[in-house]
Amino acid sequence: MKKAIRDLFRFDQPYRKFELLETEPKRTPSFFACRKPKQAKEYAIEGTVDRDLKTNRKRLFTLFRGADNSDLILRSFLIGGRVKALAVCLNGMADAKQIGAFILRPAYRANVDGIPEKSLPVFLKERVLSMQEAELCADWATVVSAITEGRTAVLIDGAKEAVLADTRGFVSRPVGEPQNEMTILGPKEAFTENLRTNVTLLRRILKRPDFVCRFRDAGGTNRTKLVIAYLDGTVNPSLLQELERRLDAIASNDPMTVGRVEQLIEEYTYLPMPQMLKTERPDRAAAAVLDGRIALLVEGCPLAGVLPITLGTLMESGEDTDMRQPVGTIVRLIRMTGALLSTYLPAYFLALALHHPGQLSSEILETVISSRSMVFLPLPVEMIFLLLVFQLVREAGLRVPGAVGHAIGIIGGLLLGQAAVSANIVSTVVLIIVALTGLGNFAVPDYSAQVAIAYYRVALCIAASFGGLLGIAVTGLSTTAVLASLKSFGVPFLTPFAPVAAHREHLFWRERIQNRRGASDWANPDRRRA
Amino acid sequence: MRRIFVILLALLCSVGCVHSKSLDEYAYVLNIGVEPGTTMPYLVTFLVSMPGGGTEEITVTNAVLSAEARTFSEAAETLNAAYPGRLSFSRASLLVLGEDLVREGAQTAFLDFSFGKQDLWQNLRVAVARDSIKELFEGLLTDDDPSLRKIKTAVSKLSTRSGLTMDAGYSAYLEAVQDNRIDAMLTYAGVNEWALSPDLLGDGAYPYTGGSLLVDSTLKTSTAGSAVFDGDRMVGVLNGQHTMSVLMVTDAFRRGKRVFTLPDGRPLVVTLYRMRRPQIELSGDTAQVKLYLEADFSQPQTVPMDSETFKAFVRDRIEADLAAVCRALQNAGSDAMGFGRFAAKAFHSAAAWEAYDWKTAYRALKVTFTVSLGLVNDPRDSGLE
Amino acid sequence: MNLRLGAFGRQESVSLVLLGTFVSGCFAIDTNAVFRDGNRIYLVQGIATVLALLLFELLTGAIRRRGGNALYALIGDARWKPVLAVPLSLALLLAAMQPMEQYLCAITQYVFVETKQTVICLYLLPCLTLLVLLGAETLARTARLMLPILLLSVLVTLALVAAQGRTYRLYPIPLSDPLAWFEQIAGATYRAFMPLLALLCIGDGTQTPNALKSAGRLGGLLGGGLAVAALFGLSITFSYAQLSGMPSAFYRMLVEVRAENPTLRLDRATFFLWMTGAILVSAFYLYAACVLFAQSFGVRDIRPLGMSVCALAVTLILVLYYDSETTQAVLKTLYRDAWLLALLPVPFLLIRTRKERVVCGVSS
Repeated sequence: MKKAIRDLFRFDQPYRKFELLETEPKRTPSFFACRKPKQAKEYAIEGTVDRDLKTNRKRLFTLFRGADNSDLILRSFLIGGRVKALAVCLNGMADAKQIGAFILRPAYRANVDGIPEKSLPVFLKERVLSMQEAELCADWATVVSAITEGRTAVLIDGAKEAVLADTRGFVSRPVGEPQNEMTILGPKEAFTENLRTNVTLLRRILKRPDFVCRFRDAGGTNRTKLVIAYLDGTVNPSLLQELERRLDAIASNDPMTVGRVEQLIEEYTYLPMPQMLKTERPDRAAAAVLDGRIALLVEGCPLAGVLPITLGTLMESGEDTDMRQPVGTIVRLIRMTGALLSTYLPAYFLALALHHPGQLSSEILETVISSRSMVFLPLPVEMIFLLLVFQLVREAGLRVPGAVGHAIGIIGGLLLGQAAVSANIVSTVVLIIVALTGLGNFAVPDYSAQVAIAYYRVALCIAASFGGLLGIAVTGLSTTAVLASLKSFGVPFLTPFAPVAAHREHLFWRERIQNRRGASDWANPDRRRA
Repeated sequence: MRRIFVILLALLCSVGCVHSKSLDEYAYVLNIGVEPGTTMPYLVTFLVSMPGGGTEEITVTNAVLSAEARTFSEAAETLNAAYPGRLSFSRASLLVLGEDLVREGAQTAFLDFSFGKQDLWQNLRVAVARDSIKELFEGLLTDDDPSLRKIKTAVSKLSTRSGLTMDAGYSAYLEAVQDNRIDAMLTYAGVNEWALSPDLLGDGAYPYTGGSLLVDSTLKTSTAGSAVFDGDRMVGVLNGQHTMSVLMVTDAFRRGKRVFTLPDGRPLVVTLYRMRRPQIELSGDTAQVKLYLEADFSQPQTVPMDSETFKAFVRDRIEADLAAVCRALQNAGSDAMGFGRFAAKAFHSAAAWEAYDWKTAYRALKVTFTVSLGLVNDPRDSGLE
Repeated sequence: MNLRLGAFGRQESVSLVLLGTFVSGCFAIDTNAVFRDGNRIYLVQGIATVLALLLFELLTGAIRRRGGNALYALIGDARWKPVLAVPLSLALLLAAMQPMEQYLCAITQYVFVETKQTVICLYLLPCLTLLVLLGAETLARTARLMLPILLLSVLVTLALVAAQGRTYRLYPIPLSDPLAWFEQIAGATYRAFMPLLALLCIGDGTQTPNALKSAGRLGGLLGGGLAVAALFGLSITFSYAQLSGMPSAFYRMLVEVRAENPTLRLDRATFFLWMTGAILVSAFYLYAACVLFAQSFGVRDIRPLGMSVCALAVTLILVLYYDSETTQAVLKTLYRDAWLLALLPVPFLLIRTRKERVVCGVSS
């Protein structure tokens, strides 16, 4: 205690707080120069499995930084009491019970007399190991990749191949309910982080032999497992080919999620509109696959990416088809009205109030003027401020967990709004417009599309405040043109309106279930009748 | 490079900032009035509305402002300097011309030049004021209803409901002035306690409206009858009933009440409805006008006539009235009934029509009116009896 | 060659031509000249539509005989290229300027009264340039999207006009003066032919010769019919004396018919909606002019050419307002006689009857 008080008043002691030291060469960069980052060393894993077990052990120890990574397990054992072998796995990724029960115990009891060393891997795989999945592999990179996934690599002294046994037993979240795609009538299962589980969820819906789940990996040094799920014979082969090509071109070392994969493989990265649908729901992904599209699953991400998509796909909710046709149509109409209101209402109001007051009726004009009589902010600033505050409240509600998150929405909506009006920061009319706008925004089912519309709305408000209806017209026309030029993996975004397709995926009209005949034609499927 | 381009484009667009003002910085001109000035050619009067108040209460301040000027924009700039809030004409809906001005045709020069350059609502209603326009505008202000627009709408809709005055738009006035085929007929307005202006037919005894004039009301301004023009000059006034006759011929009449005097001297109120578009045929120096009307009279049991006699009674009186009004208009040189519209059909070039002296031919035109009258809900026609 | 033609279907190309015919027929009229001696515009428009379609049929026949799918097939010969391509490109440029100029006039007259024309152009220029740079595929798809709402607004307006208009305003119908008839028919034919010419320039995007032909026929016919209906509606709303010198007559008609109507307060919104159609059509013409020029003179990428042409078009429009009287007189003469630029090269194109396959070397 005395030392602490004394230290408080001493100024001759060196500063003890940790600082990240500059490791770059000492030179002052110019104001405009951007320093290029250091090139990351490429960790190339090449070569094949060595016959010598000690060499393999040493190599693995070095590669996995065994001195520091205490979860690397190098378990030596004797097959049949005679042949040296090494089981390599990562603690926590591999299931120890499976290793014990299906690898070690049978290996001890195995009779390897008369079996040549080079045939031992085959013998082990076919006669000894009793797990569901086991394969032989000579490629060192594959062996390393398998270990990182949670499998166990069994290396045998004198053999050039390793046996890769599926002993994955890491802890993962069980199948739960979707958090962002709530439904009343539809199923309530959601994807999880486990790729295998997600594939299972799809297979439970698509019980057909032509449903293909192609496993592959993508990325730079940090290869992430993904699954390309499609209906063979229905999906367009050139779409599949193009997707594979784009996935091959990914060189990023970041951990992969569906969102990141989307950004790495899409064409128009600067546009806010998404070009892939991200869904938590297996039934929605399965419906898309049946429609001739592709579902992309990524290890560690509880979402499926569906491609190609159109604007209609983003405006559909998962339970549209579960409702009766008239009700489904009305709901779609309300949704589209909400989306249009949410996009154009604030800008339209700004345009009329600032540039075309003659278009407002006397009653509205008097109400607006009287409500703004003490507000100090100019109208465009007030509108944009409120729109951004709305987004802020929404983001805060999303990031804060549980009941507190819900409370923030209520606090933000009621108290802040009321307080802001009383404090003459905003006016009631603008508050109502922003509230209606927000409600309309939430009617858009897709989160990415919601966010894109939210920020497009702000751009429209700026255009309206500068140029009135002229600004809105010009911005709206430019946006329509850009959307018309947008393609999602070769499919125009505004199909089936422009270009016109034979199979009408209606924005407003929910077609009868009885009239659905196979896959949509705009994805140019190989075979429409699914 | 792309980023620089986008930034430059954004800067370029933001440079193009169209001038905007907040809603509450404007004073909204609702009515515009023009009459001869004393020191300058015109006295321009604006009825200006400035909404305000707070969240709990909406208040609207109305003011009548006048300035003498040579042009419209000069008057607007003079008043802009004198009144808080920049004048906005985007809500202007009524243009009132002083009678003294239109008798000389002096409004044409005023309306041609700077008037068209303002941000004016393109469908102004136009009226002629018998009295001072300032009094006329002040007569519209009342504490009973804060919405001036509703008062004005009610006044302008009087035409459709009663058929006793004209609901004329600026476009129709312009057509009448620029084109030779029909002369303008504008709403005639004044303030209470105005003396009856001599009607073109000299029929001063007949009321302007269906009943008596309002003499004690918070709404001091009223409209009754119409001002008729020859080109851009006003040549006379028609009272309400005579205005109705003209509206029947121009197909602007829908329904209205007329008062007839029965042989025994009692007044009879008949509601007339338009059944079909009137048919007008022009050949040489004669014109045939056929009107299709339906009559509905209250208390049929008090009328000492059978249906056919009654129909003939009403029909004869309407036809007589139409003929009298037409003669009076011909004498005044006003083609308010629009016979010129049918005369132009005989020509095959605009130059020939413009060179033709239609007004001389119009004065010599022999017009006959035929009214086809039906009765509505006449119990005497019931099949049960 | 990066011409950004892409590929678009029949409905898209019909929409583009329909919009072009309607906009050029209605929003590019010089009211001073057309209504000076009476009102014959709706008759003239009908005749012009027929003549324009006839020219289109002749040209498509010639293109088919040459084995191509676009106008370039008729201009392939090196000797003729500048003589044929330049007047046609200039005609398209002038056709693009006309609706924009009319709208600019209307905006500064009725909407933003205190604003200068340069400021308004700063809004129009980026949008126009973007549309031209995005190419034919985007233009066609945007036209397809805009068409229903534009059509609805025009039809609603015409329905209101039909209820309120009066046929006496059509008279006197000027049947004499053949010179005036010829002038007006020539001008109207030029305006009706421009969307068809533009379609021929981007014919490769329609994918097949049959699609090209049917798009031109259907779009030209429907657009022409709509233009005739709209001009007739205008004629029964205002007399010729009122129309003479009236800026943006259609906007005035819109306001006139919507008085005391629930749709009253949508007139400005409708005005700007129609303006977006006009911008789209102008972009279509400018793009077609760029394609024709690029194919004729071997310009590899259409994007710098497109940006330059858009800037040129807007600058020329502003010249009308700001520059000397001589320049203004020259431009007005060009507007009036633009039909010469468009129609005179046509016979030279039609006499090319050699059956050679022309390789256009076009890529999208």
